[in-house]
Amino acid sequence: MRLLLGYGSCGIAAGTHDVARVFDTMFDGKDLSITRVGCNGLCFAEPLLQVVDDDGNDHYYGRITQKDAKSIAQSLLEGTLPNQNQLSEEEVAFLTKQTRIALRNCGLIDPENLQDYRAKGGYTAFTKYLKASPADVLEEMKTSGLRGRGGAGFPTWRKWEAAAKEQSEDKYIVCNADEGDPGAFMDRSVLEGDPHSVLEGMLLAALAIGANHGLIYARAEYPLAIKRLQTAIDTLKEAGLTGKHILGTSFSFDFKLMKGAGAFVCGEETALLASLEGGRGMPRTKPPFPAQKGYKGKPSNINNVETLANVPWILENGGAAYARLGTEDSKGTKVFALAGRVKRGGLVEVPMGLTLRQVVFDICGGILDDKPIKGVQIGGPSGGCLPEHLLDTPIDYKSISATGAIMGSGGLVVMDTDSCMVDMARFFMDFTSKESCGKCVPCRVGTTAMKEILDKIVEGNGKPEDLETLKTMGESIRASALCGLGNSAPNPVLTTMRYFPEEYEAHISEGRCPALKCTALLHYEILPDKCIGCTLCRRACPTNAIAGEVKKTHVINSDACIACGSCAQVCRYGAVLVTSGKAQKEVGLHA
Amino acid sequence: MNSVQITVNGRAINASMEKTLLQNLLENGVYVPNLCFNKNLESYGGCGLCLVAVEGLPKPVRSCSMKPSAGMNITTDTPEIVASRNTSLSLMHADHRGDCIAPCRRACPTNQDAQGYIGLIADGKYEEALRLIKEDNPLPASIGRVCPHPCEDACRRKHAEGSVSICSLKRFAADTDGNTYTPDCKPSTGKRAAIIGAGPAGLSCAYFLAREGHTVTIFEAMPKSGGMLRYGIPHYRLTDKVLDGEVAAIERLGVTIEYNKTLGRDFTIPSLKEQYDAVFVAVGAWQSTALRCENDDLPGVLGGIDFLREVAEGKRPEIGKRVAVVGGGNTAMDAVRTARRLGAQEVVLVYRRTRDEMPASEWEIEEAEDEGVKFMFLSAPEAVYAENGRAAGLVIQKCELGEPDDSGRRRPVPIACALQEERFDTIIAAIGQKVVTEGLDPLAMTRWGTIIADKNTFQTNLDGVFAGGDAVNNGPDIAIQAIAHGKHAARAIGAYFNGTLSSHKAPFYVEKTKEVSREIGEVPFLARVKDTFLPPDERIQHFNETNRTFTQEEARREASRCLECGCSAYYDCRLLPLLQMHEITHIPLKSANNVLPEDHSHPFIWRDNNKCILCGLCVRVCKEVVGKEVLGFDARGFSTTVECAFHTPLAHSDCISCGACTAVCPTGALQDKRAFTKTPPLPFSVKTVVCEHCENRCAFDVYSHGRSIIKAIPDDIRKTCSIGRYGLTLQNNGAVKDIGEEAAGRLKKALLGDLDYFKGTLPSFDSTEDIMRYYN
Amino acid sequence: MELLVDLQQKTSATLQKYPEPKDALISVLQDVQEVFGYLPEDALRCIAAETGIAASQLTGVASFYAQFRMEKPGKYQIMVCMGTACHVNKGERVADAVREFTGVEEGETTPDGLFSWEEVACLGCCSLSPVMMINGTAYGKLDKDKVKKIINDLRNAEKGGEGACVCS
Repeated sequence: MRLLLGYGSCGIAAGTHDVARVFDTMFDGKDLSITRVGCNGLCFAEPLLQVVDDDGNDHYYGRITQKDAKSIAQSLLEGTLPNQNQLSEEEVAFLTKQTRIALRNCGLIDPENLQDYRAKGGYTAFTKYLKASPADVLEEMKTSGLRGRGGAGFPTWRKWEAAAKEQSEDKYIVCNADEGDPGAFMDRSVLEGDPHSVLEGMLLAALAIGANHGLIYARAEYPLAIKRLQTAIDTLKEAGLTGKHILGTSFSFDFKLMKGAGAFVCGEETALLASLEGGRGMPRTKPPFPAQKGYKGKPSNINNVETLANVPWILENGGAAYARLGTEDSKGTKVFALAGRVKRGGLVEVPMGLTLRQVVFDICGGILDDKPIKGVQIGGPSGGCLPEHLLDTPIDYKSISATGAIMGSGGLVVMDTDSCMVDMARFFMDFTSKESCGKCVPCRVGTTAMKEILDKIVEGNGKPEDLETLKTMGESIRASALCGLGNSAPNPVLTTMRYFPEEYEAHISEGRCPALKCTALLHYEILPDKCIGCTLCRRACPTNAIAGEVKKTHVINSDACIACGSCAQVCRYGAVLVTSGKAQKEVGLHA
Repeated sequence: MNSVQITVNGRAINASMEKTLLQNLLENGVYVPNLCFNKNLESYGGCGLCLVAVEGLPKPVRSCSMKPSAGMNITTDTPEIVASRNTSLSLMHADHRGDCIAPCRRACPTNQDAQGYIGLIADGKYEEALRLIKEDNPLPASIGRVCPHPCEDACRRKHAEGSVSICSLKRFAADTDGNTYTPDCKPSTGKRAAIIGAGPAGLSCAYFLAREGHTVTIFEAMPKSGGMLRYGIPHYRLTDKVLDGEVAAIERLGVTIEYNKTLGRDFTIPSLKEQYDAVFVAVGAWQSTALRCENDDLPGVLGGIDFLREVAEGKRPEIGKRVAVVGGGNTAMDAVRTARRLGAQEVVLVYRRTRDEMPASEWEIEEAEDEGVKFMFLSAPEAVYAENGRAAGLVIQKCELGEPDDSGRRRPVPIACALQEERFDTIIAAIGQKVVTEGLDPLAMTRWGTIIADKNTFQTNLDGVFAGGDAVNNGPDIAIQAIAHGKHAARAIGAYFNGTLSSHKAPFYVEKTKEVSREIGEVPFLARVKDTFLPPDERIQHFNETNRTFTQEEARREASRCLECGCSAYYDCRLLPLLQMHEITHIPLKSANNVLPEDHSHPFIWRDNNKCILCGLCVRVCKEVVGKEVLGFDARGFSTTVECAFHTPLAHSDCISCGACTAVCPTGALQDKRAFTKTPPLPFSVKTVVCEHCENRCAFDVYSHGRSIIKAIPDDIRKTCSIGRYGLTLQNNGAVKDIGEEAAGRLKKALLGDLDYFKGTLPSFDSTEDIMRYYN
Repeated sequence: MELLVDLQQKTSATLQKYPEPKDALISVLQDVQEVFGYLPEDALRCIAAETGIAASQLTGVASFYAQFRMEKPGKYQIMVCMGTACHVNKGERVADAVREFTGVEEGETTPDGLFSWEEVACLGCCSLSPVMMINGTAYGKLDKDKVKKIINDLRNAEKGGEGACVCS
């Protein structure tokens, strides 16, 4: 019997530490122990224990508290499967409905244990191709049709081929592990759960292009991923799979891991290179492309984590096997990180061509509290917000681009009717304006200018002509910004304007936020017939805007009210009424 | 050299493969705006302006980063590119804080470069100051005496201890010159213009036309020139002598004035039109508006300008002991003060509103008060009452102030049954003036009886007939406005001669719009130099000038108060022409409100990050060419600025004063200090000289204004050095003569900078004496 | 207050790890920040002097990345996630709560030197949003009360003379 405890950052945030301590104590001295594995993607159910019984059947126990852990450990010690905390069939289907390639080992192996990875077939592709010619690797990659999973979707083999063509003593294969899209955590999970798949992917890429150095640029906000990567690199070295003349061949390769220091723009290739070289992460003009002049002026190839994690599988199982999955134009699978107002948030890997609706509803169970869905945000700050009627769009590069959004790295944030699309647009513009490197005018000033216009609109001070300004400015920035960050920064605004024009309209001409989200447009009052005078709201109000005595109706002084919603949060009687223009709803925990 | 053929906007071009696309395009005369490109530096791509569309590529590309390849098909002005450029420039403008030209210059109808001449006066360059003034205004001695100076109202220093005495400084410059300067005229064009009226508008138009090489004849109805300047302004404010001198200077340009020639009697507009290539009608407004009350035509009731004209002509009309002047404008002030000088014992100004609403200048009201004039406010003449067929006084309706009218001033409302009688020997109606329409019938007129002239071209309904001054559109205004009409009309007439007359649009300038008090910051107190007046009881004895011209000492002290609001880089800014050429939209940007501190610490260089467009040229030249990395980028995104490490002032950095950064800065963010007290923007001429300071013999472009050198820029930025950049300038301006030992020491240190970097052979600089010798 | 000599010594020691510090500037600065908790100006001057890296480059890099601090932070550094998922799940309320219970604004440190906080881009724990991280440990599914408890627990532990365990 194997006990796999999810030990990704998400699990830890959910309390896995405490749970693990219980198991460790209970199993101390017994012949049971838990294996700390990466996240298997069922983030919604963490802390999560997967029990693989001796027949190889999986049993899942989720949302484990310390108390739960005690009784679970107790029954396991007694040799029986616990009959508590079991995931429902539907919840387990979340896993079984997926096709896992990049995530094939996540949650199933101890990421810090090389043998675990090898037991799953790890490094067989590398040892096989170590003796083959680079052209063989390229050919297989070409057959697979794998495209870059970081966002732009450029065919991976083409990039490799370009770098392979360059003559240079030193060439670099760079892993972009600077997953910066807010709302995306695929790369983190892979790095935490299966770092070796990425390292092996890099080694294979190195074989193809003739690189002798590997650089990994990882986000500093992912301390656990960095720790596990470093461990993996160290163990690999000990195992003789890196270094000089690997396994007696002429191939030499070394890994270096570098922590990013908090700049979203460093996800852009040339900015990443500048950062690796120790400078400000400012993108530069292309050409020359990194394949010609990359790290320290040497030919370099940059791939993202998920792309690289696919590579060992492709070379182990053949490009054709990969190409059988997905669609004509977009082959293989794609990992999505689902978050937001969705019932089962987590990591989902599916073949290309599934629709957004299938992912959100069939796999992830739909919207929290069964509220109506408003849309999904795909592709992060570079992507767009798609409305409900576009949920049947198949997930492939072409179809997603046609909507004005982009596939992006795989962040999928689900929004219900409580989300205001103007506020979302403002949120992303705020993000990109803060993350702009400041080099080119369209991005540096343009994102700030667009953000200020959106600020005005969510504050109810927008003017009809602002929409035209946003559109022309957005289109100009798209055409003239220096790098991908700036080029795609207007997307969230342009797509929300395109698909949710009525929300902009409501904010501008009626001073109303239909989703009751934009604070400046909200009005709070207490319903006298529902208020029982419990004083909770009065005490919660940060500005002392509520007056009232015990057992007497309370009243909000609207001049002092900052519309923070604290009263509504604490009210147990649904006595707080929030209105914005004509829209209104009664709120309160038990309303 | 490897070259390939490419197609640009349908035209085949041979392009060098060693150069970027941008360089190739520029060298072939293709317009591609750019601000962050320099051929000696690596391509950067910051400004985003040099976009071109390359056939086959999905998106426009930066031509500064691409090399040409055979068969490339390029378009430089697709709608997408044009729109993107406009947006980028609009965004740059939104984050570019400064004043291209000073508020005083903006406020002046002639756009007189006050900051320029004040700066020159502060430096003791009086002749150059006058020359600069005469680029905009042919009558500075007169205007320097009579102008109500809207410039001073706009002066930022008024928010400190008082505006700069701009008007008196102009008078000073003009008087110091004494009309010795005669500007050069271009060679004759053979075009002939007739001007009707030798007032400020006509004279100004004649002056500017003559300078352009056109032949000008002025027809003047009066026996002397000057129009209202002579006949409407009393001698105690502007003497005939001053005016005569300035008119003579205009005549020296070849302008002919035919006196006693009246429109409608001696000639007509069509007759002039036949003989001349263009006509400029500047007849003024010479008829007083009547009081429009009972008995307003009786003897003893005079028109304000009629009264002033009689006095100006040397007559001394009999006005009795008690005189009323009705009105609140500048003519009324001239009338009351003239009446005092004619011996009237009691002069009363009768005005319907209160002092606060009076259109006359405050200083004129004060001077009148000093001279004993009495004021009767909230008083509207209801009737003139008669005795023996002559006016003997006014029936006055008392008023109170009501709601504001269209002019924004509170309107007088009659108080019921509040009438009073006042006895006066003479009543002067100074409430307005009208155009005498005799001979103007071929021209389209407004319903107020003024000529309709295009606001920009000044052309009337008749082809080739232009009009300006008090006679057009909104009617009478101040003299400088008439001069501006003459100046702008001359430009339009010149264009008409060339066949290029088109509606002229006022040029776009960047303007600071924030609270002025923050803009000016802490200004050390330095009181405005007051004009020196004769004592009131003395000055009412005669018509001599009441105040005198500044002394040199006063003028330099006053000029030193100028805050120099206009950008010193105005004449060689690379951003402004782009902003003017492209369609800019105004994008309000709150984030740009933050005022960044300027760095004046360095002896030769000053930095103003408010004007920085982050093109990165300074940072890159300092690193890539100079190898110093003194300047670098700080922070990121919108907060990015160019700074020295740890935000230290430039003077405390490792700067070697090579001046490469200021030489490449496209805006006024990095500028050379000058060897002067003030650094106003000045038009310059450029001459190439060879620097003799070491055996390298580098070529420098020397920018000078008059005899002063503004700056010296190496023709190859890689050869920049402190001696050439700043030594040349200092030496030629003689600025090192009297700076004292300690300052000379600092200067030497700064000039020499990093000796390792300076590759030439240095003359010996062992002591302060050396440097003094070297520069004297 | 760190003595200048100590500071220089510690900085130099950190630099020893890097044969070519110019190529690894960001890592160097990360290590120096690890030592001092922030990047003291004198440490940067020391790096410039010892490595020949231009000081403007050092400050340029330090000011570019969100991770680097030029001021001493609190003992507990709270990072409030401002990612998309947290935003959708009302993450701004977490920031409000942190502001309220620490009593300081973003980027400031409490007078007792215990807490400083900042808003950060996504922490990648989206499924647990809204999230914050304190000294490397993530706390998920937060609301006002949980934030209050977490901060108060840390504060009380300090008062009790023992450091609270927040290490991962």
